[in-house]
Amino acid sequence: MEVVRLRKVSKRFGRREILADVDLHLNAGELLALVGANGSGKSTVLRLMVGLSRPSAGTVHRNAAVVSYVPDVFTSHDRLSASAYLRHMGRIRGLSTRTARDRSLELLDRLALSGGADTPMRKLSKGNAQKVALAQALLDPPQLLVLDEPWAGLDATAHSTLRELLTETAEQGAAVAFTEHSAEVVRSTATRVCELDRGKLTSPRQQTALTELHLLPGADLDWDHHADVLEVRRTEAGVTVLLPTGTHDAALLTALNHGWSVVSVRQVKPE
Amino acid sequence: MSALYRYLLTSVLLSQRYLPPTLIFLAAMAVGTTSDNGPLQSSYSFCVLAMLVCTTWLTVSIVNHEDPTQRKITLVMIGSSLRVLTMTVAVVITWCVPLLLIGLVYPIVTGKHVVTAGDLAVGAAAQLGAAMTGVAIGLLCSRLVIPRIGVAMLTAAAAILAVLLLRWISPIRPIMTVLSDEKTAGANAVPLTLLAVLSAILLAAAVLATKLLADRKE
Repeated sequence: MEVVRLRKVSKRFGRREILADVDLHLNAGELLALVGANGSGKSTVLRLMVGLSRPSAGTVHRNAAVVSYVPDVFTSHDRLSASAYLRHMGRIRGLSTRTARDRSLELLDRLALSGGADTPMRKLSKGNAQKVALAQALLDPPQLLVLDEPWAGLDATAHSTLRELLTETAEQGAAVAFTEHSAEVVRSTATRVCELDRGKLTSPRQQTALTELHLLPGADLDWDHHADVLEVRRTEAGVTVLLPTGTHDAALLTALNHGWSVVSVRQVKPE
Repeated sequence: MSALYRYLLTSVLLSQRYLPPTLIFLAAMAVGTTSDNGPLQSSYSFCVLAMLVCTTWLTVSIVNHEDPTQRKITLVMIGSSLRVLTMTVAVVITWCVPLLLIGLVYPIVTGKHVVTAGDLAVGAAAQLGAAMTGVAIGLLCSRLVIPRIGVAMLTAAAAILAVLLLRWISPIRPIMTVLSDEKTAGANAVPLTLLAVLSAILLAAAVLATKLLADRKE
């Protein structure tokens, strides 16, 4: 299902053309990475996707009731604590106070917010504020999740947690779009990569990297019918599962939750 | 929508941005109406002036208090900039209520006046009209429309002077004239109510103009 479509979108600020004739769509379950140099128009595309900006020409069609946005820099001078802030955001989303509180504590715990959930927002470091920004976006499972350089400022542990969260969100049927400069992060997370060059979309390329998981069986788990799995090889030494890079975190989580043991994780090039 | 209102109200309450305009309003009341023994409506005429200045300041403070990044998040959540702006104005109006009460009661407590229910009613309508005009000016001078605070302050000062000096540019000058004409509250009730309604229309127009100008920047 198509969640967002940009048709022949151009964006001008005065005489300066930021985007020119951008055609882009984003499907449910997709993890789209927008890459490009600084000033190439990546953030503008994201703002157009969520409706924060309107195109100078062309159309943006959005088919999502719950839209979440994580800006590139999130600073707050609020005296509210992180948990109180998230509770408010959850209620604005339509969640009950209890659900908003439980969900925010769960997310903050998972993102390992240092200082605890009661730290006032204005005292949070850049990385911790970014974690709160991520948490607000995931309080209510979004149908469209848009993140502007979400890895910036995050510590190494939170990097992998964020990758897991994005993969899970996409698996739940959301369309996820993000910008990122690190090729490694893009390769390990995105299912599709689009490159912008001075406001023009260069030909979109399919993410081709694959990941091979070598696992020792635990409880019953049918990998053949598991979403995203491309190939399953069974040997005496265990089971080898091949799947697109970016979906492997969720598969690993599933394996571990079912008592399987991970022997190795290897990135492979497709034939 | 009430969740957004509660969030904005809590955020403003904790920020204490409302304190300077509130204290200035109290100081203005102390200087302008203490020991006043003329007609109560004339004292309320001074309150209208103080209310206009303080609500303009209050509006700029409250609207500028919201971090631009947080505003983007809120806009995406709500999906309509008009609804977000309307809630912000509702919060500002909420903070105007204590000022209105102070403006109604302070001259009575500290001065010597003959107080009638009619005087209180016309005083409330007049000050409410001034508050709404102040909020309208404050919105158009907020960061949403004028990003540079220095330019915004000068524009707000010029706008306040304009509405005080030019007769039919806003309801403020007619409100002050009606309050000072020494007629009974009954005689002034209709014109002041109409002027308050005109202020409400002015505020609605300012909200729409602010929305359009803020959206255009994106």
